[in-house]
Amino acid sequence: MIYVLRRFLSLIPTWLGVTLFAFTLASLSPGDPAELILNRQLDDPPTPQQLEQFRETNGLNDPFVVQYANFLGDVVRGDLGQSFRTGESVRDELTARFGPTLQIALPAFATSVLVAVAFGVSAALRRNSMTDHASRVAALAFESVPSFALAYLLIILLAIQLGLVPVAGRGTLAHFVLPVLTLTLATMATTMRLTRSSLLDVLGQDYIRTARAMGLPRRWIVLRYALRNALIPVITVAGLILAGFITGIVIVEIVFAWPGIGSYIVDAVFDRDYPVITGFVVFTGTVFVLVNLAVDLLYVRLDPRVRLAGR
Amino acid sequence: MCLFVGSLIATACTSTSDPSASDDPAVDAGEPNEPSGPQELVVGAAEDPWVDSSESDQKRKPNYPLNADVCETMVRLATDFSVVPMTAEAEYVGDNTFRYTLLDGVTFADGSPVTAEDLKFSMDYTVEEPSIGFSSLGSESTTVIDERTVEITPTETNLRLNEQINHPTYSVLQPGSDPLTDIESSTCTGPFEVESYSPEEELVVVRNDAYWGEAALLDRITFRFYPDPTTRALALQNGEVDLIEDVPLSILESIESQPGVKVERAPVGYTTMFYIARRTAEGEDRLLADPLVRRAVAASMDSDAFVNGVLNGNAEDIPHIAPPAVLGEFSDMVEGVPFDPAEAEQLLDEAGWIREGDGVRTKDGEPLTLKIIFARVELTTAEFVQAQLREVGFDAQIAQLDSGAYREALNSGDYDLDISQPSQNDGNPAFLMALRWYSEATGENAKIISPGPDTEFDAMIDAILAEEDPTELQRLSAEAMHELVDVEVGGVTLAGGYRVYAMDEGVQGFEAHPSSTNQRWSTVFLQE
Repeated sequence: MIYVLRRFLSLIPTWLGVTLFAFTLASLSPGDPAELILNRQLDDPPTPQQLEQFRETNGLNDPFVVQYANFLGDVVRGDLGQSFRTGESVRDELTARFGPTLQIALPAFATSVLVAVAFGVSAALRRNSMTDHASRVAALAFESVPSFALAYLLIILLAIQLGLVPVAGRGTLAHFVLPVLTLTLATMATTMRLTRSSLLDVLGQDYIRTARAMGLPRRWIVLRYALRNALIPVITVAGLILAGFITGIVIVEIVFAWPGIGSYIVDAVFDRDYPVITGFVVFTGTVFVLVNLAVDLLYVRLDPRVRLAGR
Repeated sequence: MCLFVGSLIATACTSTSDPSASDDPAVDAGEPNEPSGPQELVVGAAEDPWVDSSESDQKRKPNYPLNADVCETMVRLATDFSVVPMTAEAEYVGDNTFRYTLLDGVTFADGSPVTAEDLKFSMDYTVEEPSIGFSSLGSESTTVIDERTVEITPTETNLRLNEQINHPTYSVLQPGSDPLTDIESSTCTGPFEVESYSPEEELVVVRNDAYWGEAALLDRITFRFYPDPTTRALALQNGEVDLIEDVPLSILESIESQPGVKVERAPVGYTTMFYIARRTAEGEDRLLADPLVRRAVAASMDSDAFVNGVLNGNAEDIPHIAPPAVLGEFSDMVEGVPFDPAEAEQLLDEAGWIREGDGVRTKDGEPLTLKIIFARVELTTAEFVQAQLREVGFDAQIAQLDSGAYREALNSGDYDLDISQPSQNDGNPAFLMALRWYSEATGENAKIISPGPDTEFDAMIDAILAEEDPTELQRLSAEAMHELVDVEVGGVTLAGGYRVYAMDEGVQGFEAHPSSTNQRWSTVFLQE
């Protein structure tokens, strides 16, 4: 419990750093926010009086520290500001697009990790066999192909040649297949290779030899003792993959006409919609911090040494 | 990327069976066709134009910029850019005032008759904040004369109102409609009505059975949004959509080779061109304030090579900055600066820009440097312009900008050439000239590219804005375009472009409009 609390507290400075970075980024961005906003709200260019009044009303004349404190307070309350383009709440717009992204990110993450770990274990247990070589070559090939090209190849193979699934869009379960498969294939190589090398490393350790010498079944040794330790570095990488999926899978969303968060952010960047960009950086930072916390908690579960070290 | 995508599509085409190839001799023989089977068309549209758009753009739903034939205007734009009645007859009655009289039997989709009060509501809707009009309308501009007639008087002299008011922005709406807040309950007069709208996914419209005119042949149209053009093409190949819009030229050849697919090209509806910046926002002269250098830039552009080389012949070689059809019989008055690199070199010599060998020209030790900016135009276009300029001794630098940086550059004048693709979506032949080069234009960057106040060109635009006769309007507009293109060299056109649609051979009755916002769907039907 102390370990969990300590980890949680240690993440707060990280999160504050993210918010400071995001706020500084917005402050340094070119253009006067008052002009940017009023130019979009008014038919005619704003007068100096209107600009000054806007700055005063919105605290833009305050010192940087005060502005940051106000920004932080807003963020804590869940207020990420308003989009320059649409005038809508950034939080509401991010939330609306978060759902569709999660719909493909979570299945893709689950599939990617499960398949990669299964192939990684298989490759480690049959080291230098045909299975080992084949799975490594295939995984590397998928990882080497750019995701847009992989997406098109899968469309042509599974949708056009075999007619198994639709090309793009949402609506049915079949629509999930191609985006999920693209993400799975594009990311599983790292996890698979890490699982393989980590498991090989563990299988060479003394306590595994002892277990073998004691006559324990091989499957029992692998599943009960070796894999549990081997998965610790894998979980770290898996956490990063999950955070990456959640915060932006732009190419896949565009190719498969999937209305997620990625395409929304690309539009915001191209249109210099700073409140959205800032809100997204804070959101992304929060997701990474939370995923890291989850990974740390899993360490505790998997490795008693972490638990003991925390005491 | 384009080659990769094209070859992918070609591979997909050649190695699959042809599910959509028709064995029907009527199709092959081009015999008169009739609707057969379910009349549900699925259109592969580009990205959802209303998502992340401003409130003013949201107010234009469902008629602009994705036209789904749900709303109608009082007058409309024909394919030759002439203005013809749609729901009302138009008449100029003098004193900066236009009269619109409703045609017989015009009704909303719920069957209720359209009245003059409804027309007033519709015009006033464009004026209310956030305003969406651009025709100097005010809240007092529209007056009800009788049950079927309104008169519209712009807040300032604007005799181009009738050519502007055919833009889908000025659609007839039933009072109470507010597409900004609720597209599905907004009622119009068109042959289709909105059934559902899922942002970034699809817009579904169904036939308006109470339509006052000739009923649509389709029961339903689903506009599915595919931001990626290659995915759109693959969706057509897979039979998930019947028709796709805005086929990129880079994959057009591959799509045309697909069995069972036909391609329709609209008449020229936009141009690929560049604006020439003469001065900064502060009024300081830039390099291209020198007319010799401007003409040299124009003379160095081989538009024939652009059309037939870069665009593979999928465009027209025209000198006009707007579709020539808007100028009617007077379009020949605009000639363009002919491609003549020797003359370009001579002009630069005259201007004092000296070249040694094949290098960059210099003057007083300064290199002849041009900054070319663009945002949404294909990179190959900018590279073509850059290469042409380098041939005659310019050091041409290209910068592809995001929309924010592009807007900033346009407003500050931090560029020399701005490559763009302006479209003609209304019937005003001088629309682009008045918007971009007229020194009185409200556009922020007009002062940067305008020939300037008190010039011959400005006087011509003044005359155009006050002209009543449509034919004389075309003549005056052609004269102004001649002044702008041939004399002032305020911009250079590389090509006249057209919308390209690809569709299943079973799609019949589709007539591609040069302005996509004026596309009609009511004559389209499907034949099995």
